Amino acid sequence: MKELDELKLLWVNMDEKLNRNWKLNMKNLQTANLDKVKRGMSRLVWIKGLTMGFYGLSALLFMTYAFSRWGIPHQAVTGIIFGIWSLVIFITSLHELRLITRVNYAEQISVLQKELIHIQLTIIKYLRLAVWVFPLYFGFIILLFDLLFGVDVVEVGSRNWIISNVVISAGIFLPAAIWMRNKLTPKNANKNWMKKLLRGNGSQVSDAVRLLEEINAYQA
Amino acid sequence: MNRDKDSFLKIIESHKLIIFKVCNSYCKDSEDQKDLFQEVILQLWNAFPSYDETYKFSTWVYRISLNVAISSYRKLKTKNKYFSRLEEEMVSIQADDDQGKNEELQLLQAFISQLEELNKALIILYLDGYSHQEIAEMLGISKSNVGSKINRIKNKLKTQFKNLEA
Repeated sequence: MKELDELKLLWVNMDEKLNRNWKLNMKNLQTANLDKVKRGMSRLVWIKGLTMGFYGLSALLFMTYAFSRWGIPHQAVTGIIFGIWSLVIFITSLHELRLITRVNYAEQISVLQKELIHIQLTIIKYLRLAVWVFPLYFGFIILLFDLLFGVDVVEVGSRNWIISNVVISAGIFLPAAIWMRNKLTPKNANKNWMKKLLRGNGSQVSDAVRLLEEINAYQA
Repeated sequence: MNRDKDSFLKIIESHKLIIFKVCNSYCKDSEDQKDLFQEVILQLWNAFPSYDETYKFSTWVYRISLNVAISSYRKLKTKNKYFSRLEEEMVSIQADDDQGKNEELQLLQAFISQLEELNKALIILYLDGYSHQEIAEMLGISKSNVGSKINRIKNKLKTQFKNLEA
């Protein structure tokens, strides 16, 4: 049986072995462009900033549209709904950007790892927000016809056509969206369908979830 | 304290063993070890301007190395997407020339590499002589949790050695 002192002695032997086999290339370190990592980080910040800018602008445009159609309830409501939807994505991006810019590797290990995991899991938050597009598809029709052709589809469309779209949206797409939203949780990250949805990030997300559980067990 | 590259390289030189140990424990493949080493150096350099002098250099190097190692294991599979590659090789690793001579050392290494990420960090720090209080501070968990986790890992290691001896 290995007692503690023996384990520590073995560990000292490990130091000696590493000292023997690993060699630091000081010359390369002196000439290396170590600032490259800062550029990599600012590229990520730039991408997230652009996402935030896009959805911030969308929210503003949808809200402006809603106010300009204040007298036409279905168009105003459509504008407000899409405005709120864009605003939620804007706030999510802002939160993500805040987390990214705050990343500090000198932080306590459990604290930093939790922050990194939350950044990694925001992809699931975006998917959960994206599913609301399905029940809102009729809103897109209203908006597109109004903005592109200046036609109010609710005004010119037949009553049956409008009712059937509302029924499809509320009766099929809304429950489907709620079901999908409930299924899109980090716990399902290791499922095959989720891995496909996450497009190659699946195993990283499922590893992140596993690590999060490990950290929570440590802090319990 | 100077925060220039020369001062930074002096710190790296005198604490290289910490980084070697972390990279060696978190990656098996020597190419992955080199990539992880590079990533640790880059993050240390990135954090160097805001180095908090209330910490010992060894603690600071350990914290960053472990944080990078733990977060990088999720990225290694897609490393080309995430790692900022530098042309220069910062570390060279020779093949182990004493294989078979120190079987116990290899077993310890293998057991540690099988541990989960935080357990691995905990046992590395413990074997390196850090106190429960220092480990708790570095990991961000309570001192009592450190004690119970260490006991559990120690027993696991002992059992594994015992099974091999039997």
